[in-house]
Amino acid sequence: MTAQDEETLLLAPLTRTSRRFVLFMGLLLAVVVGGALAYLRQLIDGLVVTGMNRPVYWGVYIVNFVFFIGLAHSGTFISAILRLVGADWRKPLARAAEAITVFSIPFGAASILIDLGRVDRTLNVFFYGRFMSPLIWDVVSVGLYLFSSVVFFYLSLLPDIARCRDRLTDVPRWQHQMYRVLALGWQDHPERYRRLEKVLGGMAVFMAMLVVIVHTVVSWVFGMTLQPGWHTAILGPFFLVGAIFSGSGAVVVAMAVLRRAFHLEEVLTLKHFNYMRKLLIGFTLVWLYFMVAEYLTTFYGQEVEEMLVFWEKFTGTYAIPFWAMFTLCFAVPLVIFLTKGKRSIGWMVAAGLSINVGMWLERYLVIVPTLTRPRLLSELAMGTYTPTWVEWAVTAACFAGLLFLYALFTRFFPIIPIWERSEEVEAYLHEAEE
Amino acid sequence: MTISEVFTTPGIGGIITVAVLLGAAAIYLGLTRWILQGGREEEPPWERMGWPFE
Repeated sequence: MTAQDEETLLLAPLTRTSRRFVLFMGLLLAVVVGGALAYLRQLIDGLVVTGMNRPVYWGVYIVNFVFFIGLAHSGTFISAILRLVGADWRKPLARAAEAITVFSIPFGAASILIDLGRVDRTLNVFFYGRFMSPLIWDVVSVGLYLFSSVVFFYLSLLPDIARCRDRLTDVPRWQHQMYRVLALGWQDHPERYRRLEKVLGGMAVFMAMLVVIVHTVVSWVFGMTLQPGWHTAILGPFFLVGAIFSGSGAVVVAMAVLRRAFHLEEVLTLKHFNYMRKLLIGFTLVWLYFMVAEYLTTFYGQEVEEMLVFWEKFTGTYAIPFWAMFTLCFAVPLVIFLTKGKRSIGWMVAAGLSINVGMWLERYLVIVPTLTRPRLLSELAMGTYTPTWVEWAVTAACFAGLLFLYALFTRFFPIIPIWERSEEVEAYLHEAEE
Repeated sequence: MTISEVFTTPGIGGIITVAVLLGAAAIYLGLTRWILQGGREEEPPWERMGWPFE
Protein backbone atom coordinates (compact mmCIF):
# COMPACT_ATOMS: atom_id res chain seq x y z
CA MET A 1 0.00 0.00 0.00
CA THR A 2 1.47 3.38 -1.00
CA ALA A 3 1.47 6.37 1.36
CA GLN A 4 -1.17 8.01 -0.86
CA ASP A 5 -3.45 4.95 -0.70
CA GLU A 6 -3.05 4.82 3.05
CA GLU A 7 -3.94 8.47 3.45
CA THR A 8 -7.03 8.01 1.27
CA LEU A 9 -8.04 4.99 3.36
CA LEU A 10 -7.58 6.86 6.65
CA LEU A 11 -9.44 9.97 5.50
CA ALA A 12 -12.32 8.07 3.88
CA PRO A 13 -14.45 7.66 7.07
CA LEU A 14 -14.42 11.44 7.50
CA THR A 15 -16.37 12.08 4.35
CA ARG A 16 -19.43 9.86 4.73
CA THR A 17 -21.89 8.67 7.34
CA SER A 18 -23.26 5.18 6.97
CA ARG A 19 -26.77 4.23 8.06
CA ARG A 20 -25.32 1.70 10.45
CA PHE A 21 -23.28 4.43 12.12
CA VAL A 22 -26.34 6.67 12.54
CA LEU A 23 -28.28 3.77 14.02
CA PHE A 24 -25.47 2.96 16.44
CA MET A 25 -25.19 6.58 17.53
CA GLY A 26 -28.96 6.82 17.97
CA LEU A 27 -28.92 3.77 20.20
CA LEU A 28 -26.12 5.20 22.33
CA LEU A 29 -27.92 8.52 22.57
CA ALA A 30 -31.07 6.75 23.75
CA VAL A 31 -29.10 5.11 26.58
CA VAL A 32 -27.57 8.47 27.50
CA VAL A 33 -31.02 10.12 27.58
CA GLY A 34 -32.33 7.24 29.74
CA GLY A 35 -29.44 7.78 32.17
CA ALA A 36 -30.01 11.53 32.20
CA LEU A 37 -33.66 11.00 33.14
CA ALA A 38 -32.62 8.62 35.93
CA TYR A 39 -30.16 11.23 37.16
CA LEU A 40 -32.90 13.86 37.07
CA ARG A 41 -34.95 11.63 39.32
CA GLN A 42 -31.96 11.41 41.70
CA LEU A 43 -31.51 15.17 41.59
CA ILE A 44 -35.15 15.77 42.52
CA ASP A 45 -35.60 13.02 45.13
CA GLY A 46 -32.02 12.88 46.43
CA LEU A 47 -29.61 10.02 46.97
CA VAL A 48 -32.40 8.02 48.60
CA VAL A 49 -33.18 6.64 45.13
CA THR A 50 -29.75 4.96 45.12
CA GLY A 51 -28.69 1.94 47.13
CA MET A 52 -26.25 4.04 49.15
CA ASN A 53 -26.93 4.27 52.86
CA ARG A 54 -25.21 4.33 56.24
CA PRO A 55 -22.46 3.09 56.43
CA VAL A 56 -22.13 2.43 52.67
CA TYR A 57 -21.63 6.02 51.53
CA TRP A 58 -19.95 5.12 48.25
CA GLY A 59 -21.31 2.76 45.63
CA VAL A 60 -21.35 2.17 41.91
CA TYR A 61 -20.70 5.84 41.06
CA ILE A 62 -17.36 5.83 42.86
CA VAL A 63 -16.58 2.43 41.30
CA ASN A 64 -17.18 4.08 37.92
CA PHE A 65 -14.97 7.01 38.87
CA VAL A 66 -12.01 4.75 39.65
CA PHE A 67 -12.72 2.59 36.62
CA PHE A 68 -12.92 5.47 34.12
CA ILE A 69 -9.79 7.12 35.46
CA GLY A 70 -8.07 3.73 35.17
CA LEU A 71 -9.32 3.27 31.63
CA ALA A 72 -7.86 6.66 30.83
CA HIS A 73 -4.37 5.35 31.53
CA SER A 74 -4.44 3.45 28.24
CA GLY A 75 -3.61 6.50 26.15
CA THR A 76 -0.92 7.79 28.42
CA PHE A 77 0.68 4.38 28.62
CA ILE A 78 0.62 3.64 24.88
CA SER A 79 1.40 7.14 23.79
CA ALA A 80 3.65 8.64 26.43
CA ILE A 81 5.43 5.70 28.04
CA LEU A 82 5.95 3.73 24.83
CA ARG A 83 7.08 6.95 23.12
CA LEU A 84 9.74 7.37 25.81
CA VAL A 85 11.09 3.84 25.36
CA GLY A 86 11.14 4.34 21.58
CA ALA A 87 8.64 1.58 20.70
CA ASP A 88 7.73 2.59 17.15
CA TRP A 89 4.99 -0.03 16.83
CA ARG A 90 2.81 2.16 19.07
CA LYS A 91 2.40 4.75 16.28
CA PRO A 92 -0.78 3.43 14.62
CA LEU A 93 -2.38 2.71 18.02
CA ALA A 94 -1.42 5.94 19.74
CA ARG A 95 -4.40 8.09 18.80
CA ALA A 96 -6.98 5.36 19.35
CA ALA A 97 -5.54 4.95 22.86
CA GLU A 98 -5.25 8.69 23.54
CA ALA A 99 -8.87 9.16 22.52
CA ILE A 100 -9.89 6.62 25.19
CA THR A 101 -7.96 8.75 27.70
CA VAL A 102 -9.46 12.04 26.65
CA PHE A 103 -13.04 10.76 26.59
CA SER A 104 -12.79 8.61 29.75
CA ILE A 105 -11.54 11.25 32.17
CA PRO A 106 -14.63 13.49 31.85
CA PHE A 107 -16.84 10.53 32.75
CA GLY A 108 -14.58 9.75 35.71
CA ALA A 109 -14.90 13.33 36.91
CA ALA A 110 -18.65 13.35 36.14
CA SER A 111 -19.08 10.21 38.27
CA ILE A 112 -17.90 12.20 41.29
CA LEU A 113 -20.42 14.96 40.57
CA ILE A 114 -23.17 12.38 40.06
CA ASP A 115 -22.28 10.86 43.43
CA LEU A 116 -22.90 14.18 45.16
CA GLY A 117 -26.36 14.53 46.61
CA ARG A 118 -26.14 18.30 46.23
CA VAL A 119 -24.26 18.89 43.03
CA ASP A 120 -24.86 22.63 43.38
CA ARG A 121 -22.36 22.58 46.23
CA THR A 122 -19.49 21.47 43.97
CA LEU A 123 -17.88 24.90 44.00
CA ASN A 124 -17.52 24.60 47.76
CA VAL A 125 -14.46 22.52 46.94
CA PHE A 126 -12.84 25.70 45.67
CA PHE A 127 -14.29 28.07 48.26
CA TYR A 128 -13.76 25.97 51.38
CA GLY A 129 -11.49 23.07 50.34
CA ARG A 130 -8.61 22.35 52.69
CA PHE A 131 -5.46 20.94 51.18
CA MET A 132 -5.11 18.35 53.96
CA SER A 133 -7.98 16.42 52.36
CA PRO A 134 -7.07 13.71 49.82
CA LEU A 135 -10.26 14.70 48.00
CA ILE A 136 -8.61 18.01 47.09
CA TRP A 137 -5.50 16.17 45.91
CA ASP A 138 -7.83 14.29 43.60
CA VAL A 139 -9.33 17.49 42.22
CA VAL A 140 -5.85 18.87 41.48
CA SER A 141 -4.39 15.70 39.96
CA VAL A 142 -7.43 14.60 37.94
CA GLY A 143 -7.99 18.19 36.75
CA LEU A 144 -4.37 18.51 35.65
CA TYR A 145 -4.48 15.07 34.06
CA LEU A 146 -7.58 15.90 32.02
CA PHE A 147 -6.15 19.23 30.95
CA SER A 148 -2.73 17.81 30.03
CA SER A 149 -4.21 14.84 28.18
CA VAL A 150 -6.39 17.11 26.06
CA VAL A 151 -3.39 19.32 25.18
CA PHE A 152 -1.17 16.30 24.42
CA PHE A 153 -3.92 14.80 22.28
CA TYR A 154 -4.64 18.04 20.46
CA LEU A 155 -1.01 18.85 19.71
CA SER A 156 -0.40 15.40 18.24
CA LEU A 157 -3.58 15.83 16.19
CA LEU A 158 -2.66 19.27 14.83
CA PRO A 159 -0.82 18.26 11.59
CA ASP A 160 -3.59 15.79 10.75
CA ILE A 161 -6.30 18.41 11.25
CA ALA A 162 -4.35 20.59 8.79
CA ARG A 163 -4.23 17.61 6.43
CA CYS A 164 -8.02 17.29 6.69
CA ARG A 165 -8.33 21.03 5.99
CA ASP A 166 -6.14 20.76 2.88
CA ARG A 167 -7.33 17.42 1.48
CA LEU A 168 -11.01 17.21 2.37
CA THR A 169 -12.49 19.86 0.15
CA ASP A 170 -15.78 18.12 -0.62
CA VAL A 171 -17.02 17.92 2.99
CA PRO A 172 -19.80 20.22 4.25
CA ARG A 173 -18.76 23.84 4.72
CA TRP A 174 -19.09 23.82 8.51
CA GLN A 175 -16.88 20.71 8.74
CA HIS A 176 -14.20 22.33 6.62
CA GLN A 177 -14.48 25.50 8.68
CA MET A 178 -14.00 23.40 11.84
CA TYR A 179 -10.76 21.96 10.43
CA ARG A 180 -9.62 25.43 9.43
CA VAL A 181 -10.11 26.87 12.91
CA LEU A 182 -8.77 23.85 14.80
CA ALA A 183 -5.63 23.58 12.62
CA LEU A 184 -4.45 26.93 14.07
CA GLY A 185 -2.89 27.84 10.74
CA TRP A 186 -0.60 24.79 10.70
CA GLN A 187 1.53 24.45 7.57
CA ASP A 188 3.95 21.58 7.02
CA HIS A 189 7.47 22.75 7.73
CA PRO A 190 10.47 20.72 8.95
CA GLU A 191 11.18 23.10 11.83
CA ARG A 192 7.58 22.99 12.99
CA TYR A 193 7.58 19.18 13.04
CA ARG A 194 10.83 19.18 14.99
CA ARG A 195 9.38 21.52 17.58
CA LEU A 196 6.19 19.49 17.80
CA GLU A 197 8.17 16.30 18.30
CA LYS A 198 10.28 17.99 20.97
CA VAL A 199 7.22 19.23 22.87
CA LEU A 200 5.47 15.86 22.61
CA GLY A 201 8.65 14.13 23.86
CA GLY A 202 8.90 16.52 26.80
CA MET A 203 5.22 16.23 27.60
CA ALA A 204 5.51 12.44 27.45
CA VAL A 205 7.92 12.55 30.42
CA PHE A 206 5.50 14.74 32.34
CA MET A 207 2.49 12.60 31.35
CA ALA A 208 4.31 9.44 32.46
CA MET A 209 4.82 11.00 35.89
CA LEU A 210 1.26 12.25 35.94
CA VAL A 211 -0.12 8.80 35.23
CA VAL A 212 1.65 7.46 38.32
CA ILE A 213 0.57 10.39 40.46
CA VAL A 214 -3.07 10.41 39.36
CA HIS A 215 -3.94 6.83 40.08
CA THR A 216 -1.93 6.80 43.27
CA VAL A 217 -3.84 9.85 44.45
CA VAL A 218 -7.11 8.19 43.44
CA SER A 219 -6.14 5.25 45.66
CA TRP A 220 -5.25 7.59 48.53
CA VAL A 221 -8.86 8.72 48.76
CA PHE A 222 -9.34 5.25 50.21
CA GLY A 223 -5.84 4.49 51.51
CA MET A 224 -5.56 7.55 53.77
CA THR A 225 -8.48 6.35 55.88
CA LEU A 226 -8.11 3.69 58.55
CA GLN A 227 -10.67 1.39 56.98
CA PRO A 228 -9.93 -2.34 56.74
CA GLY A 229 -8.76 -3.31 53.27
CA TRP A 230 -7.92 0.27 52.37
CA HIS A 231 -5.20 1.43 54.75
CA THR A 232 -2.30 -0.22 53.00
CA ALA A 233 0.71 1.23 51.20
CA ILE A 234 0.28 -1.24 48.35
CA LEU A 235 -3.02 0.35 47.30
CA GLY A 236 -1.38 3.09 45.17
CA PRO A 237 0.81 0.82 43.01
CA PHE A 238 -1.99 -1.77 42.90
CA PHE A 239 -4.43 0.82 41.53
CA LEU A 240 -1.84 1.97 39.01
CA VAL A 241 -1.12 -1.53 37.70
CA GLY A 242 -4.84 -2.27 37.49
CA ALA A 243 -5.41 0.99 35.61
CA ILE A 244 -2.78 0.32 32.96
CA PHE A 245 -3.98 -3.29 32.78
CA SER A 246 -7.61 -2.36 32.06
CA GLY A 247 -6.59 0.54 29.80
CA SER A 248 -4.43 -1.74 27.66
CA GLY A 249 -7.26 -4.28 27.47
CA ALA A 250 -9.57 -1.51 26.25
CA VAL A 251 -7.03 -0.48 23.58
CA VAL A 252 -7.07 -4.03 22.19
CA VAL A 253 -10.87 -3.93 21.91
CA ALA A 254 -10.82 -0.46 20.31
CA MET A 255 -8.13 -1.53 17.82
CA ALA A 256 -10.16 -4.55 16.73
CA VAL A 257 -13.39 -2.56 16.32
CA LEU A 258 -11.66 0.22 14.34
CA ARG A 259 -9.84 -2.33 12.20
CA ARG A 260 -13.13 -3.96 11.25
CA ALA A 261 -15.20 -0.79 10.89
CA PHE A 262 -12.70 1.19 8.79
CA HIS A 263 -11.02 -1.70 6.93
CA LEU A 264 -7.65 -1.05 8.53
CA GLU A 265 -6.37 -4.61 8.14
CA GLU A 266 -3.13 -3.43 6.57
CA VAL A 267 -2.53 -0.71 9.14
CA LEU A 268 -3.45 -2.51 12.37
CA THR A 269 -1.94 -5.92 11.79
CA LEU A 270 -1.75 -9.08 13.86
CA LYS A 271 1.78 -7.95 14.72
CA HIS A 272 0.36 -4.98 16.67
CA PHE A 273 -2.04 -7.23 18.55
CA ASN A 274 0.86 -9.51 19.38
CA TYR A 275 2.86 -6.65 20.88
CA MET A 276 -0.14 -5.81 23.03
CA ARG A 277 -0.56 -9.48 23.91
CA LYS A 278 3.00 -9.69 25.22
CA LEU A 279 2.56 -6.53 27.27
CA LEU A 280 -0.72 -7.82 28.66
CA ILE A 281 0.84 -11.13 29.70
CA GLY A 282 3.24 -9.07 31.81
CA PHE A 283 0.43 -6.98 33.31
CA THR A 284 -1.65 -10.07 34.10
CA LEU A 285 1.23 -11.55 36.07
CA VAL A 286 2.04 -8.29 37.84
CA TRP A 287 -1.64 -7.95 38.77
CA LEU A 288 -1.58 -11.47 40.25
CA TYR A 289 1.58 -10.64 42.18
CA PHE A 290 -0.10 -7.61 43.77
CA MET A 291 -3.23 -9.64 44.60
CA VAL A 292 -1.20 -12.33 46.35
CA ALA A 293 1.01 -9.79 48.16
CA GLU A 294 -2.05 -7.85 49.34
CA TYR A 295 -4.23 -10.70 50.56
CA LEU A 296 -1.44 -12.90 51.96
CA THR A 297 -0.16 -10.02 54.09
CA THR A 298 -3.67 -9.30 55.37
CA PHE A 299 -4.26 -12.98 56.10
CA TYR A 300 -1.03 -13.33 58.10
CA GLY A 301 -1.93 -10.28 60.19
CA GLN A 302 -5.30 -11.82 61.26
CA GLU A 303 -6.50 -8.44 62.46
CA VAL A 304 -10.18 -8.79 63.38
CA GLU A 305 -11.60 -5.96 61.27
CA GLU A 306 -9.38 -6.79 58.30
CA MET A 307 -10.41 -10.45 58.42
CA LEU A 308 -14.12 -9.57 58.40
CA VAL A 309 -13.65 -7.89 55.03
CA PHE A 310 -11.24 -10.60 53.87
CA TRP A 311 -13.69 -13.46 54.48
CA GLU A 312 -16.58 -11.47 53.05
CA LYS A 313 -14.66 -11.45 49.78
CA PHE A 314 -13.27 -14.96 49.82
CA THR A 315 -16.24 -16.96 51.10
CA GLY A 316 -18.98 -14.53 52.14
CA THR A 317 -21.43 -12.17 50.48
CA TYR A 318 -18.95 -11.08 47.82
CA ALA A 319 -17.46 -14.49 47.03
CA ILE A 320 -19.14 -14.81 43.61
CA PRO A 321 -17.98 -11.41 42.28
CA PHE A 322 -14.57 -11.94 43.91
CA TRP A 323 -13.87 -15.26 42.20
CA ALA A 324 -15.46 -13.99 38.99
CA MET A 325 -13.05 -11.05 39.15
CA PHE A 326 -10.11 -13.40 39.67
CA THR A 327 -11.18 -15.58 36.75
CA LEU A 328 -11.84 -12.64 34.41
CA CYS A 329 -8.69 -10.69 35.28
CA PHE A 330 -6.27 -13.57 35.51
CA ALA A 331 -7.31 -17.06 34.37
CA VAL A 332 -9.31 -16.22 31.21
CA PRO A 333 -6.92 -13.63 29.73
CA LEU A 334 -3.78 -15.59 30.54
CA VAL A 335 -5.11 -18.76 28.91
CA ILE A 336 -6.17 -16.75 25.84
CA PHE A 337 -2.85 -14.90 25.60
CA LEU A 338 -0.87 -18.12 25.78
CA THR A 339 -3.03 -20.08 23.33
CA LYS A 340 -5.57 -18.71 20.82
CA GLY A 341 -4.59 -15.04 21.27
CA LYS A 342 -1.39 -15.51 19.28
CA ARG A 343 -3.25 -15.86 16.02
CA SER A 344 -6.79 -14.65 16.66
CA ILE A 345 -7.87 -11.04 17.04
CA GLY A 346 -11.35 -12.21 18.08
CA TRP A 347 -9.86 -14.02 21.08
CA MET A 348 -7.77 -10.97 21.94
CA VAL A 349 -10.97 -8.92 22.02
CA ALA A 350 -12.52 -11.52 24.33
CA ALA A 351 -9.51 -11.20 26.63
CA GLY A 352 -9.67 -7.37 26.54
CA LEU A 353 -13.36 -7.41 27.47
CA SER A 354 -12.77 -10.03 30.15
CA ILE A 355 -10.05 -7.88 31.75
CA ASN A 356 -12.28 -4.82 31.77
CA VAL A 357 -15.31 -6.55 33.28
CA GLY A 358 -12.95 -8.10 35.82
CA MET A 359 -11.34 -4.76 36.63
CA TRP A 360 -14.73 -3.09 37.11
CA LEU A 361 -15.57 -5.87 39.58
CA GLU A 362 -12.20 -5.37 41.26
CA ARG A 363 -13.00 -1.68 41.83
CA TYR A 364 -16.39 -2.68 43.23
CA LEU A 365 -14.73 -5.18 45.56
CA VAL A 366 -12.23 -2.62 46.81
CA ILE A 367 -14.93 -0.11 47.68
CA VAL A 368 -18.14 -1.84 48.76
CA PRO A 369 -17.10 -4.74 51.07
CA THR A 370 -14.98 -2.39 53.21
CA LEU A 371 -17.89 0.01 53.62
CA THR A 372 -20.30 -2.76 54.60
CA ARG A 373 -17.80 -3.86 57.28
CA PRO A 374 -16.23 -0.57 58.43
CA ARG A 375 -13.78 -0.53 61.31
CA LEU A 376 -15.83 1.53 63.76
CA LEU A 377 -19.17 -0.11 63.13
CA SER A 378 -17.97 -3.70 62.97
CA GLU A 379 -19.72 -4.74 66.16
CA LEU A 380 -22.71 -2.47 65.88
CA ALA A 381 -23.96 -2.92 62.40
CA MET A 382 -23.31 -4.76 59.21
CA GLY A 383 -24.04 -2.61 56.21
CA THR A 384 -25.58 -3.82 53.00
CA TYR A 385 -25.58 -2.33 49.55
CA THR A 386 -27.54 -3.19 46.44
CA PRO A 387 -27.33 -0.76 43.53
CA THR A 388 -30.73 0.44 42.28
CA TRP A 389 -31.96 0.83 38.71
CA VAL A 390 -31.11 4.53 38.89
CA GLU A 391 -27.45 3.73 39.50
CA TRP A 392 -27.38 1.13 36.73
CA ALA A 393 -29.10 3.50 34.29
CA VAL A 394 -26.61 6.28 35.05
CA THR A 395 -23.73 3.81 34.75
CA ALA A 396 -25.00 2.58 31.38
CA ALA A 397 -25.35 6.21 30.27
CA CYS A 398 -21.72 6.95 31.21
CA PHE A 399 -20.45 3.99 29.17
CA ALA A 400 -22.75 4.86 26.26
CA GLY A 401 -21.63 8.49 26.46
CA LEU A 402 -17.99 7.43 26.27
CA LEU A 403 -18.69 5.26 23.22
CA PHE A 404 -20.74 8.05 21.64
CA LEU A 405 -17.96 10.63 21.94
CA TYR A 406 -15.37 8.14 20.76
CA ALA A 407 -17.41 7.17 17.70
CA LEU A 408 -18.16 10.83 16.97
CA PHE A 409 -14.44 11.58 17.05
CA THR A 410 -13.67 8.79 14.57
CA ARG A 411 -16.30 10.27 12.23
CA PHE A 412 -14.54 13.64 12.00
CA PHE A 413 -10.84 13.00 12.69
CA PRO A 414 -8.38 10.35 11.47
CA ILE A 415 -8.08 7.77 14.22
CA ILE A 416 -4.70 6.58 12.93
CA PRO A 417 -2.01 9.28 13.07
CA ILE A 418 -1.09 10.04 9.45
CA TRP A 419 1.81 12.42 10.03
CA GLU A 420 3.58 10.14 12.48
CA ARG A 421 3.65 7.44 9.80
CA SER A 422 4.71 9.76 7.00
CA GLU A 423 8.15 9.04 5.58
CA GLU A 424 8.57 12.70 4.72
CA VAL A 425 8.09 13.76 8.34
CA GLU A 426 10.34 10.92 9.48
CA ALA A 427 13.04 12.30 7.20
CA TYR A 428 12.67 15.80 8.75
CA LEU A 429 13.02 14.43 12.24
CA HIS A 430 15.88 12.14 11.30
CA GLU A 431 17.68 15.08 9.72
CA ALA A 432 17.25 17.06 12.92
CA GLU A 433 18.69 14.23 15.02
CA GLU A 434 21.82 14.17 12.87
CA MET B 1 1.02 31.37 59.81
CA THR B 2 2.36 27.83 60.33
CA ILE B 3 2.46 25.17 57.59
CA SER B 4 -0.22 23.28 59.45
CA GLU B 5 -2.47 26.36 59.39
CA VAL B 6 -1.91 26.79 55.65
CA PHE B 7 -2.96 23.23 54.99
CA THR B 8 -6.03 23.39 57.17
CA THR B 9 -7.33 26.80 56.14
CA PRO B 10 -10.61 26.50 54.20
CA GLY B 11 -10.23 27.71 50.62
CA ILE B 12 -6.49 27.04 50.37
CA GLY B 13 -7.25 23.81 48.48
CA GLY B 14 -9.23 25.76 45.90
CA ILE B 15 -6.49 28.37 45.51
CA ILE B 16 -3.84 25.67 44.97
CA THR B 17 -6.07 23.86 42.44
CA VAL B 18 -6.73 27.01 40.44
CA ALA B 19 -3.05 28.02 40.60
CA VAL B 20 -1.89 24.63 39.30
CA LEU B 21 -4.41 24.63 36.44
CA LEU B 22 -3.70 28.24 35.44
CA GLY B 23 0.05 27.57 35.57
CA ALA B 24 -0.39 24.56 33.29
CA ALA B 25 -2.57 26.62 30.93
CA ALA B 26 0.13 29.29 30.63
CA ILE B 27 2.82 26.69 29.93
CA TYR B 28 0.73 24.85 27.33
CA LEU B 29 -0.22 28.05 25.59
CA GLY B 30 3.44 29.03 25.41
CA LEU B 31 4.44 25.63 24.03
CA THR B 32 1.71 25.70 21.36
CA ARG B 33 2.75 29.18 20.30
CA TRP B 34 6.41 28.09 20.13
CA ILE B 35 5.53 25.10 17.92
CA LEU B 36 3.45 27.20 15.55
CA GLN B 37 6.21 29.79 15.22
CA GLY B 38 8.60 27.10 13.94
CA GLY B 39 9.66 27.82 10.36
CA ARG B 40 7.66 31.02 10.11
CA GLU B 41 9.64 33.80 8.61
CA GLU B 42 6.83 36.31 8.36
CA GLU B 43 4.93 37.81 11.25
CA PRO B 44 2.68 35.12 12.75
CA PRO B 45 -1.02 35.77 12.03
CA TRP B 46 -2.03 35.89 15.70
CA GLU B 47 0.30 38.79 16.23
CA ARG B 48 -1.44 40.63 13.44
CA MET B 49 -4.92 39.62 14.50
CA GLY B 50 -4.48 39.09 18.25
CA TRP B 51 -6.07 35.67 18.00
CA PRO B 52 -4.27 32.38 17.38
CA PHE B 53 -6.36 31.40 14.36
CA GLU B 54 -5.70 31.75 10.68
